Amino acid sequence: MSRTGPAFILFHFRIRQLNWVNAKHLDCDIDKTNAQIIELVYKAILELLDMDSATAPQDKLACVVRCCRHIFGVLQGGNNGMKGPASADDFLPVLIFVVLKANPVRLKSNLHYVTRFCNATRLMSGEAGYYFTNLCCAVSFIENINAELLSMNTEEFEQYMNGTLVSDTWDSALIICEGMHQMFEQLALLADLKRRNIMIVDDALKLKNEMSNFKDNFMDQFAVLKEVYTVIDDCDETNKNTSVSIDDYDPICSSLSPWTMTPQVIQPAERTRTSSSCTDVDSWDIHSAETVSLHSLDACFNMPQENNEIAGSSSEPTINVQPQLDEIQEISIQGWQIPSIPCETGGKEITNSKMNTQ
Amino acid sequence: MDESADGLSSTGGGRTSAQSFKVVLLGEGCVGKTSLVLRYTEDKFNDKHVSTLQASFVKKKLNLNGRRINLSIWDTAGQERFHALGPIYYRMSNGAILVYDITDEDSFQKVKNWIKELKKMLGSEICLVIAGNKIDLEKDRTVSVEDAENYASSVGAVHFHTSAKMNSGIEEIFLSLCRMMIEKADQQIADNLVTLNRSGSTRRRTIIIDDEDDVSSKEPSRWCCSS
Repeated sequence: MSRTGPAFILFHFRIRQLNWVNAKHLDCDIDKTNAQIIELVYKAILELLDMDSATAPQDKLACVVRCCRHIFGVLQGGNNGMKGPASADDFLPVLIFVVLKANPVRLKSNLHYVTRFCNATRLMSGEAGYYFTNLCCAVSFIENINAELLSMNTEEFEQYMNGTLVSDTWDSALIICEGMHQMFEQLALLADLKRRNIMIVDDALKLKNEMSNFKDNFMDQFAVLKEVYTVIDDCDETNKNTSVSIDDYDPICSSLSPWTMTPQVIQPAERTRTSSSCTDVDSWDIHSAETVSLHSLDACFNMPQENNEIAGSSSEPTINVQPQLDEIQEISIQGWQIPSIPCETGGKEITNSKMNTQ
Repeated sequence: MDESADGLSSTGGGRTSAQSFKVVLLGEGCVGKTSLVLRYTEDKFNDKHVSTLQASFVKKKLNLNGRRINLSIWDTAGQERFHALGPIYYRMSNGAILVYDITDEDSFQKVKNWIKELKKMLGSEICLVIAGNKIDLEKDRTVSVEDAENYASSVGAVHFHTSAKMNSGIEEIFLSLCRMMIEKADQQIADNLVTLNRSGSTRRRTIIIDDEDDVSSKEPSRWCCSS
């Protein structure tokens, strides 16, 4: 690039020097009075200028193809299509004219790029290849342009090149077109940046919403879970403090005679007494927290007396909860557990009361 | 530039797949190159209602002896001022149709120049056919049939008389060119096989890319994008 750079710049300057060349010099058949045709010429110029901003070789090639299609539109005489299909004899001069008026930046560089990086077979056989070849021809022609090629005398050519003679307004308008195009290109770039910015803001908002939704969901679920666990806690609490409630849930209890209920009235006092005595023991926390389920077994076999007391107290919830969950006919399970409870905690009273109820 | 010509034919080398050939139309302006193509592809002459936008690049598919062929026909600008651009057009082409106007001696002279150039640039890689167009204007003929045919055979080209207006000789000229190109392609494949067997497969596959220094050092080269 740096090695060949100056050559490309020279080409750019050469076209600038040739800005006086008009359609008449090149014998091209452009109807300047037809607005449609002028529009097509501008479009062709814009496509050619777009070639530099395209990145991939096939995209650059696509720009050339679009440019040439517009030129064929010009040759057809706009949308009316009064003329027959255009031949290369008509096409090439117009293409040269368009290249001269567009004066695309780095045109030669782009041509080299496409030649090197496009599939050579495609470049040499397809329609795009044909247009590309024509563009190469146009560039080659411009590089070698002289008085003879423009069918004018050398003197006049020199005068034009020196700037002694100047071109008409239509050509000046086309020169302005280059600047306009750059402006449009930058506007397009800005629009694109704006679009991307909006996209980013939208995404950020979306993410924010998602986050708050997630938080709400989480809090909801947490609240539900908290409720469930507090219910359980409450159950435990109430059971611990007032064991009376066990039998309150029991449907059979209600049908029982008030006489059987009398022993149970004593229970709350006894329970509170045992639990308060348990809290006096230092190791209560550890055992109750870690190995509640094991207590009943361990306590039976090799626990010292004081631990047995704890085991008894800690296994209380099992006793208390079970009647809630199980039906009364499973009292035998309860009965199986009962012997493991040390006698002095008042377990015997429960058994007795149960026996009585039965 | 000698390596350029076998690119297309070798890609379509398989018998079953279609072969692609690039054909250039060379000739002075107003000898009827475009009419010739339009007559061949659209079967129309000087018609304002032709469906195609342009007749400068045309594709044509045909079947020849059970082989599928894709022709891409490249029209070239024939004006004298664009003569120097010829090499850009005809490189890597498999065939060339050189058109002259039988009523115009100059156009025949131009054909001779083209052939000289083509032979210099592409050697015998390219198949040549010469078309003496506008035989409907037989009475104004200035190029004698004998001269034309003698010249054609001296350069290894086939000569045809055509008329786009009367639709004569058009189909024949394209068919004949196709046969020649197929023959050449087959011969090239055979040659490649021989050289492959002789020099080992890796060598032929080496692609040498000339850097542009070579090109810029060659003064007369007007190629804008040679690789």
